[in-house]
Amino acid sequence: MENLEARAEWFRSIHRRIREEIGKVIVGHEQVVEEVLIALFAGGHVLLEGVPGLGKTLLVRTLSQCLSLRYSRIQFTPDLMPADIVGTNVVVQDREGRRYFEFQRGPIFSQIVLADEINRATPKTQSALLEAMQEHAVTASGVRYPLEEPFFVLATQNPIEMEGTYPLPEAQLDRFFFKIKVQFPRADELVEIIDRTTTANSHAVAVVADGPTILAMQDLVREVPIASHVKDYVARLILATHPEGEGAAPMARKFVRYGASPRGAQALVLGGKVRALLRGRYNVSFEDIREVALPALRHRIILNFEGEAEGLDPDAIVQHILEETPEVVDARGRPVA
Amino acid sequence: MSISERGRWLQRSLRSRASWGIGNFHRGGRRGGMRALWRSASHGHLSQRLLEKLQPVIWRIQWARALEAMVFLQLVGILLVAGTLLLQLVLPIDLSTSLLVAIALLGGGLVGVGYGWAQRPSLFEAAVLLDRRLGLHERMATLLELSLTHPSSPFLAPLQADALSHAEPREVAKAFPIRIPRRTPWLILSLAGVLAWELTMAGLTIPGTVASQIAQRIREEGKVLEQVAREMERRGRVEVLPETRRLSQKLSELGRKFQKERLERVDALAKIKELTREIEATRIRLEERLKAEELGPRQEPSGDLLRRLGSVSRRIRSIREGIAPFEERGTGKDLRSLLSSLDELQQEENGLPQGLLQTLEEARRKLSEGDWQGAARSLESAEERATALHRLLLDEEGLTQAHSQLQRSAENIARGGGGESPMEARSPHDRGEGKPPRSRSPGLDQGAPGEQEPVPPSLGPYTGTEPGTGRVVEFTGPPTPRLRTPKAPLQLRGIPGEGKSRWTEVAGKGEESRSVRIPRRAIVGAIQEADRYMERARVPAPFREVVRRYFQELARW
Repeated sequence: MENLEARAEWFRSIHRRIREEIGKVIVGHEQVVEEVLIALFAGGHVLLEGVPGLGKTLLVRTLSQCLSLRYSRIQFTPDLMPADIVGTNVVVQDREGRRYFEFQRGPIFSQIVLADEINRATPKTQSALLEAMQEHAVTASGVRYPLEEPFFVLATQNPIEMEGTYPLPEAQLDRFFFKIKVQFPRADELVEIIDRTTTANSHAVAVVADGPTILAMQDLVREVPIASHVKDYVARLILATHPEGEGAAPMARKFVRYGASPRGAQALVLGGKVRALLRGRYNVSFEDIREVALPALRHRIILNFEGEAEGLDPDAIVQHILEETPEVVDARGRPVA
Repeated sequence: MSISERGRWLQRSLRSRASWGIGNFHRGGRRGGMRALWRSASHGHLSQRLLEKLQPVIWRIQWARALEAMVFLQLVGILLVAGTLLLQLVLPIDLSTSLLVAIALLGGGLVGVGYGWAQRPSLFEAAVLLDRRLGLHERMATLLELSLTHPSSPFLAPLQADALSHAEPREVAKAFPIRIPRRTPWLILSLAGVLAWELTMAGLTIPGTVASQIAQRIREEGKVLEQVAREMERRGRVEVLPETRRLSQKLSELGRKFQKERLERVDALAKIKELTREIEATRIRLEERLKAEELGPRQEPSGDLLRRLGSVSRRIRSIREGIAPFEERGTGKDLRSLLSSLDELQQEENGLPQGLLQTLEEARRKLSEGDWQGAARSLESAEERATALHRLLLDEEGLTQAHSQLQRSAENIARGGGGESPMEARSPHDRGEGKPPRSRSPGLDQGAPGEQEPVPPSLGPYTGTEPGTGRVVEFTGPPTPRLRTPKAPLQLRGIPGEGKSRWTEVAGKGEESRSVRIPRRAIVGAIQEADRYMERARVPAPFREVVRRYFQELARW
């Protein structure tokens, strides 16, 4: 497909159809669906946070249905072991009676992995996902097993249940492209949910795209140009989250222990590129960056004791940084009108 | 320059200015990277349509910056002028406010426009500003950068079509309007403030400062000028001197102005210069008239000539009076004596104008022929001519005096506020009877010709030894010891009302202070004046000695 306009239009149409298919099952949550798809097209993983019963798992399952990708669900529990996720070597006997070790692949060997209630597993088990999420490969007994592309992890966690949960370590959190908060549905959406789930009507989800299609879309995303001053803005945003940095925002200085990593910048740029394409543009704008800043940065900002004590939400800090950071600055760092 | 030529020029400009193009928006180490980016992009291709879109933006930004810089620098200039005005409360600053304002407006304007014009925005800056003003979502800047860095990118064509379709020329003009700079109201306000200050508060000074001393000096010079003008007016009225009278009014007006109005030094000097120029022009006119009367460049001093002309007038009048009996009765006392007087007059006054001498010769001829009436007419004509010449010379003298006084005043004002006041610096003789200061003209000083001006002693430290000259400090002398101890109350010996009693004032030890002796200038001046009048009236020597002793006795009191 040489014509770029056609490729962009094709990209948008796939996105539109996926949304339509998901919309058949999922009521509301437009923002969540949009952000999940942005992460998918950018090649990142998503952490969905919300109270039980909001349709997180259903959303992931529906997405896997319309994407024609191999899907697996891992229910994280405290006794879940890394081998339960990655797989393990088991002793196998052949026809001649010879025994040998054979790697039994775990549920991670899928294209869409739902890590349900990820914070219920121990950090040891959670860490089993690290290599898979970052390098799209797992290593067992010294053997490296690449995962099939596209590889997309969607994890869910419950923010209110603290007992028996293990908060995700920073390294693990940083590997999630977006952290998306699933809000409680509105009244009209609730009515619609009741209608759909308490009647005999069932909605069949059509397959819209397959693995190669998603990969082609991810390739197209990476080609979208971004101007240097927009990249400069991204860099300043990231630096503003670091309390000891030169360009730190006042709130970050006061309430943040660790700021966002370079992965945050990558997430902002890639998310911005997807959004630009979805908006029918061929370049990334400041608005695209601002729109994806919250899901891309909220889990990468670690509050200090004062921030925790104040009960601050990292969203407020990100919002503050967005307000404080000028989009374009001149050589002396002054905002350009 | 055609559009394509401009496009090529912009491309060249972009390459040559690569170092400061995009670098304006980045700091520190990033700038070097961006420079490299631009250098590597110098082979890139910028589309003509993109350049056509950005060129008007650059021009408009440049104009807007030039106007802003112009108004800013003008405002700074006017504020500096305001600062100068405030400084003038304390210090004398010999600069005209209107000139300063003109320099601030013109200079600030030119420098501002030049500076603003030199701040030409780069293409990238123009693109970024265009994006922001038109809400293009960074299309233009991305397009420009992509054109230079990845000219073969498949995104270039759709991005260009997308970006250019969003940037309508009309919208561009609206987004970058050439409007009145935002500091203009401040400029107008400050300008109005400066002008209002100049109109209402000009010349205001804080007491005790140098500026205040200068203002005081100007007022004192105004007093002196008015005094001189009064004297000139009197002389002009008595002697019928039209030019002297006319200019005395102006001089008086200037003196009053100096006293009443708050003038700055530069304005006072300008007004003096203006009047001096007018006096000079009048003097030149008088010189021409004197030249026409054959009294052009003269060898002898004006005072001598004035005296001689006065003497000639009197002698002619005397001869005419001698001729009168011949006219009435046909006979007189001594015709020979009259003829010899005329001869003497002609021989003695051979430096007089030729026309006057010819008229006298004609009168002599007519007198010897017995034409008494003709002789009387000729003598009358000669007398009128001598009187007119006399007045012309007096007029010229008056102007010379006014001119020199103006020069002195200008020097005093220019010298500043320190030292003695003009009244003090003047000799006691000048201060004495309200005469014009340092008037050395025999015509105006003595009121009549016939006296030589005494050479005044030079003024200066330790030179005031002659009575009637010198300065106040020389009269008072060095400080002398006085009693430092406070005065004790008067002591009384004896009982009041019974027998003799004596009061004693007990003084303590000495203390150093300045003793004051009141100078008796009036008496000294009176002696000199009396001497002059006695000389003029030809008082016999013994009587003159009596009068002198009287005044000396008076002086001892």
